[in-house]
Amino acid sequence: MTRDLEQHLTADELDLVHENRAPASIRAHLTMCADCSRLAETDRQLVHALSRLALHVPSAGFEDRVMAAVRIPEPISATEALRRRIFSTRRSLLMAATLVLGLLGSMGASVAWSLTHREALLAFSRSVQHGLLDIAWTTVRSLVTSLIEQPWYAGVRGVLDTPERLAFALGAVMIGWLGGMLLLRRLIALPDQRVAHESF
Amino acid sequence: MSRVTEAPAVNWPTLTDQEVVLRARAGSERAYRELVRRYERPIFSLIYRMVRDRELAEDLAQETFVKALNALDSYRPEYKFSSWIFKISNNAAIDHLRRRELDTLSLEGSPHAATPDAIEATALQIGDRGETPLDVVEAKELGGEIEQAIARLRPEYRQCILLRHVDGRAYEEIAEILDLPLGTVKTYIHRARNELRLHLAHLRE
Repeated sequence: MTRDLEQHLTADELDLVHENRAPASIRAHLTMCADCSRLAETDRQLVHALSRLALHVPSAGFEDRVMAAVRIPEPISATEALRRRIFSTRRSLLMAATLVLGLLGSMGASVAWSLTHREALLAFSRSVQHGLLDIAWTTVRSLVTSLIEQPWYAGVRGVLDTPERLAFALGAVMIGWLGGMLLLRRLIALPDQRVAHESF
Repeated sequence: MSRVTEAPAVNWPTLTDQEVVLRARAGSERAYRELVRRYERPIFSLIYRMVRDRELAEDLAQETFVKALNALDSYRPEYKFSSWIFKISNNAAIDHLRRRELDTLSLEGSPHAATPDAIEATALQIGDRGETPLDVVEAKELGGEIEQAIARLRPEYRQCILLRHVDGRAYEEIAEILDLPLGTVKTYIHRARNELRLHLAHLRE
């Protein structure tokens, strides 16, 4: 699209030039119109100089003076922080309400379905119960069978085949366990004497 | 009562303003300090360039922060925190200018300063951005000329041009900060640029 040479750039079009978003018609006009070209360049220099103005710094202690005059609320619990976060924006409140409604709705639907399908639930629980019992019994049987077939099983059984030997073995295990507990307790006990750097 | 110390793992500079505000509302003193640190320079600079009096600018900047931080509960996080605090600072500066009718001032100090020390204390200090000594001198000279030209603008043009080209705010945000229609903001900024070009024309000769 061509543009009349007499139709000079508007302020908005100058902004587009500074932001490098000017369309081809404006760029073409700038190459032909000396007035607009000069104005755009002067304006660009001005905008650049303004953007380079330094920030001023308040005097030392400004932050502390502000903090001395600010009322800081007491720290709040995680629950209270969550509650405030939920109620902080309309969006977060809407999301929380949707979540709660979804949970309550699904719980209600679940209860209603359970009440109307009691026979189906009972049959299902019975079949699950039977299935679990079968699995447990099969597991126990296979474990025992596996244990009996171990090569060392006959030797161990021979050692423990009288009540006296069994009592002796159990006593030895108990003494070993008690000894271990006492040793552990001694190792993890706190020192009873004052130590350096205690106050830190 | 002793306050709960902050967890050392919090990397404050990476938090958004909204996240820092949430922590401040939860009672974190460190979060309050972070908000002051983030905005003390831009807020003070804006007010200083509006009222042209260093001591007064500090008082108004302090008033801005105290008002904003004591009213954090009324801040709505769906809006930019910067817009909210700039709005408070702008109101403080404009209220003061209306009370004192202090619209255009010299760089040499506040007209309310009575003694030479007070004049020096209230004079505008031209800052620099840590460049080479020659750059600093040139930047200070140019900066001084621009500061003088800005000081001659009407307050409404001045606040718009400062927010747009010194702070880099979008037109829409400036309209929100100043409670002005977008078209008015654009008009003020373009008129301010025209006036500045005229005031600074001697630099191009």
